[in-house]
Amino acid sequence: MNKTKYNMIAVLDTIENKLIPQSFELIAFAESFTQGDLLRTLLVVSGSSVIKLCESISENYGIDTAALEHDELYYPNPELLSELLIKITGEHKPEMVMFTHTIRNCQCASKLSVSLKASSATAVESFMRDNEGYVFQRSVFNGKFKENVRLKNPVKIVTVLPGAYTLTENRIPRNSEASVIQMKFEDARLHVPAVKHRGYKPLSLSSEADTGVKLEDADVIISAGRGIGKEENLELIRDTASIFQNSAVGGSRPVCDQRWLPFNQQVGITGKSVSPKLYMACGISGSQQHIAGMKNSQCIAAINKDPNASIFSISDYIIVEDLVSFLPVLIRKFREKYGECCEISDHPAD
Amino acid sequence: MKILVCIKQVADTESNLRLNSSSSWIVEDNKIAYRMNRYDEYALEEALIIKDILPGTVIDIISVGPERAAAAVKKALERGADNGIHIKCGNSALTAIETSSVIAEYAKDRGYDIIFAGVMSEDLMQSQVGPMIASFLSIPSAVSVVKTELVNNSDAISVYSELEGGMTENIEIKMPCLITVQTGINLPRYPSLSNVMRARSMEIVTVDIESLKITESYEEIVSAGYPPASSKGIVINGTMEEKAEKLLCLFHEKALI
Repeated sequence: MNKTKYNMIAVLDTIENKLIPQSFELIAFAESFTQGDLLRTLLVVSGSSVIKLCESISENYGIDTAALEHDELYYPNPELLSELLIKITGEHKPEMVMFTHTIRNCQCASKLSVSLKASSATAVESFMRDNEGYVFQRSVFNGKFKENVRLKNPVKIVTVLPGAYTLTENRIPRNSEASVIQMKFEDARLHVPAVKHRGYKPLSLSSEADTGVKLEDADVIISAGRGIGKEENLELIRDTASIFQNSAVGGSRPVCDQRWLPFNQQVGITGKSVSPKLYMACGISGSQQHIAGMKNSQCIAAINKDPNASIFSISDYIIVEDLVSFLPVLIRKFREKYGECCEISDHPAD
Repeated sequence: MKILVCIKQVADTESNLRLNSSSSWIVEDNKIAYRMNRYDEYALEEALIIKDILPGTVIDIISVGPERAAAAVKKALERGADNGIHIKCGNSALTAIETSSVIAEYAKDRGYDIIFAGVMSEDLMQSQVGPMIASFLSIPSAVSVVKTELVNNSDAISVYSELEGGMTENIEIKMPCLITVQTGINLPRYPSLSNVMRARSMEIVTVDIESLKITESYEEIVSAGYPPASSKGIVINGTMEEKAEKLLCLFHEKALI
């Protein structure tokens, strides 16, 4: 058994034994945090059968990797995962445990924080080092402000916001001797008191079936946010979409929550991630979870009556107007100017 | 069934939020509108739906916050909750560990079958208070739930937890448990006139935070700031008609129309 004491643990979680796409960003964060010295960093890959996966990660990245295996980790199981991590963390006493920011990892981070008396911060975007330690930056108030949080306790836990760090593709493994550790857990061998309380049983996974429209395939997406005010105003969004070829209508979470649009038209972390040629955000304030799903669009135009709307910080074209008055003018102007020469599609996908 | 719903009163992000002169937190003055955290409205509604199905159900509301937070508790009573508890504290920016430790301290030994909370607060956006309460109480928790189903003759609930990217996971969780609720799980009701009248005469139980055992914060908010101003964006000015024309022109240049 490997005797290295790791001071940094990066948890790469899997769904059905497949890494989630953002996992590698976590390696990038670890690399930045350790200033490139990953000799005392352990990547922990959780799942029910992940040893092969660990071998390939260890080989490609030159970082020690542990397979944290338990039959009940085939589906995401943050309750069990956090119990196992508490055990591992107790052995290694690392300075830092890091996760990809997902809601279930916030659950893990929270449980670890209470059990280990560890400081924690979720959805961190960057960090600074000063003579008192580390300060982490994260968004608050729906992205209107950033806060800087100092993690005071010896053990620190963070979840790193997807998109905040990117791994250089040609990273050369620095440690060709990186090892793979297998940690196979069965309940009987786990002497963690919390286990007997565990009344948490993942049963199945499902994806919302896609019907008809493929937001991902549209060249232009016209998206509606809370600013549309009422369902009838979706017509304005559809009419606007009709002036573009191969366009589709999307929406932010609040619009789908109201059932004004089906959930498969929702853009954001909890919905679709899109990168069309043009993304037009109408009445969308720009919550972090929405921005993460559309910021890679080639061109972003935003219409919002609030001049301080966070969506403007990532927009190419900024229009401070109420969409309910502005969109009819836009459509009229389009018809006056381009109406004769352009074919308006009668049935934009929505 | 005995249910506790944790709610937070938050500053409306659409209202005039500014940072104070020392950039330590937002200015809290009368220009700011406060309301119930949106995620918590859905959590409350989910509890009310259970009460509709199982009429003997008792719903308690708990909120930790300054004086003004009592208004959010009152709103929850108007929607149909039975008892309101306000844990009063001077600090309006308690960290997750502080808030969850006092709620857990209050809830322990009170026999709640389900504790509901919103998946996160709109101001601090940590997604931690719910699972931390569960952790303090050593009960299981399910997060970001978009559907709940009571299981007949059983102490288990079937919940659907929303994962990122449009996936959901079905989980069976045993009571007592804690569930954090995602928006869209239901459509929160408007308060009925009879419940508004009933709430008028209801007393909110006020508990001083000093009387509860609080876990001292492991984190410290050092400062706050505005996000970096947009560097690449072009603000399109003019009358509404001019703006429309300019925008169409830009789209045309980019061969989008």
